[in-house]
Amino acid sequence: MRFSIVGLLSVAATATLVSCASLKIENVDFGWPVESVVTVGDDNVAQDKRYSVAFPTAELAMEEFQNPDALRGAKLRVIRSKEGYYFVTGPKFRNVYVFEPGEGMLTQEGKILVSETGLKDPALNNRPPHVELVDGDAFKKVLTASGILEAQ
Amino acid sequence: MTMRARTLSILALLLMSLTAAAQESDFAVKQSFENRILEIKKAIDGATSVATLDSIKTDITKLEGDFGGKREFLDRSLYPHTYDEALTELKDIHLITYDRVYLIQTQGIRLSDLQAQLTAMSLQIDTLTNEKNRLFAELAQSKKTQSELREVARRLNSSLDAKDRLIFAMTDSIFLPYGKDLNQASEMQKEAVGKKLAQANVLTRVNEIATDNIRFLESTQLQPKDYANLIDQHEQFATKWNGLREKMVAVALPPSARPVSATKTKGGVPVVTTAAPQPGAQVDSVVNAWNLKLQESLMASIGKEFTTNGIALQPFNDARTFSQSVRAYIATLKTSGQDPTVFVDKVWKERIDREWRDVLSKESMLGKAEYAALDQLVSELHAEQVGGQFYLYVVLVLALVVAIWWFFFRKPRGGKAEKSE
Repeated sequence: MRFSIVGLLSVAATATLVSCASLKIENVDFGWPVESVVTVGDDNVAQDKRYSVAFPTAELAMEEFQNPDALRGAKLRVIRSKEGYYFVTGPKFRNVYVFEPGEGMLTQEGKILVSETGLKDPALNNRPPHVELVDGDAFKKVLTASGILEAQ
Repeated sequence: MTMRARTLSILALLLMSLTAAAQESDFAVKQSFENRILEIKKAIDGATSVATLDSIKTDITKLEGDFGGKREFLDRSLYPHTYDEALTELKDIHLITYDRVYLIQTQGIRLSDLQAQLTAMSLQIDTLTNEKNRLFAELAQSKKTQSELREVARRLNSSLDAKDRLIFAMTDSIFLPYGKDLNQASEMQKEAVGKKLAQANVLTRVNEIATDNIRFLESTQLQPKDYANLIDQHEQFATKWNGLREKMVAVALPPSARPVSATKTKGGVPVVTTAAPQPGAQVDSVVNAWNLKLQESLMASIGKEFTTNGIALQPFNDARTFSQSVRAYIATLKTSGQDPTVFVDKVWKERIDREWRDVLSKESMLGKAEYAALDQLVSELHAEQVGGQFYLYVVLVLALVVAIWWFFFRKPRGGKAEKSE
């Protein structure tokens, strides 16, 4: 009798756990076909109209240039990879920043050093599953969320 | 913008696009494509001569060549538009401008006037279509008296006739600026005419007229005098349609230039083909059906004239077979010696010759010569009958004269005897 009660409780608990498990959809492609070139406004906010993404740039400017207003009026290159990470860089940047989106925030996933002297004319291309960085005719690098996969 | 400035500007953009290709920046490719489209649009907008527009056409072809390989990428990055949409829009603008500039340059016709004329005609046609639908509905109601129905049918016929004339006037307006020999027109001009014909919905409208006329024949009881007018209408329509079809074939793209289209078979398997039906093939078949219906109705009405008087001709379904039937019947009368009075007097003289001569004498029917020949045959039949009676009358009159003479002028035999005695 005691065994059957335990058994029943176990079945009920399993059923409850199964029904509460969150739904997961796999193989989602978050990639943007082409990067967005967004101009940082006077309010230090970069706003992309096509994908309706807006984020303050003061902290990014502080991290890259040690000046919270350094990006005001600058053109940032932003692209979202297939996995869903945001890759952000711009002229004079030494790094490409990789962010993971969260609830009302972007969390730095990686900071990839790509140029000691700073980028001149950067552009980001989506090359699933990676992201490609080109800097004029200077170089081309294939990036992952954590670093440089390949450089030419 | 001068021609030189425009060429320089396009060269600069071309250089930019080549640089962009070297950089392999997707964003630069997209921007380069958009900029070149914008630049070409500006060039089209400022073009004042056909030569400039011809040169711009080459730029468009070059643009297609430069970016055709990136179609898939551009489809995604130009969202909500696509590569094809962007190019189609550009070509349309070019075509419309070419048309306008060509007209201004060659004909001195104000496009606005022509456009207003076409719009007005389209409106009139639509009004007539509404009127026609209303009249067909009235005709379908059998509540009206015979004379009221006749009036509705008359108005309907004149409405169809007016619509017919308007549509062909409209197509004439479309073709007018391009002169008579459309085969000499450039591909651009042909494309422009084709586009206008499609916009004015010409094929559908022409097809609708022919179909309406068939419907009219099916829903109306016609009288002999109606047919002459209806045959004229059909002949004029067919002539105008033949002319229009020739022009439509002239402006139609050659098979090699037709866009490859996928059509689905009954099994649902798409078949890619460049073969397109000749323009207006459907109209051809409806015009033919209209003629057959008209002939059928006409011959049935003529046939009734004979059957109601008890004359059984061999069946006929057109003017030629009608003539053969009449000739055969006349031959039968001659050989059998039957009394031809009903056929000659009651049917031919009173009905056919009086009511149907105009229709049957038309060149598309029997023609004047053949009708006259038939009438002559019938008259001879009458003459033979008259000849027989005449001889009978002569004999009777002679007999009467002899009888009178015998009664009044003969010398009695008894008197002579008395005298000798």
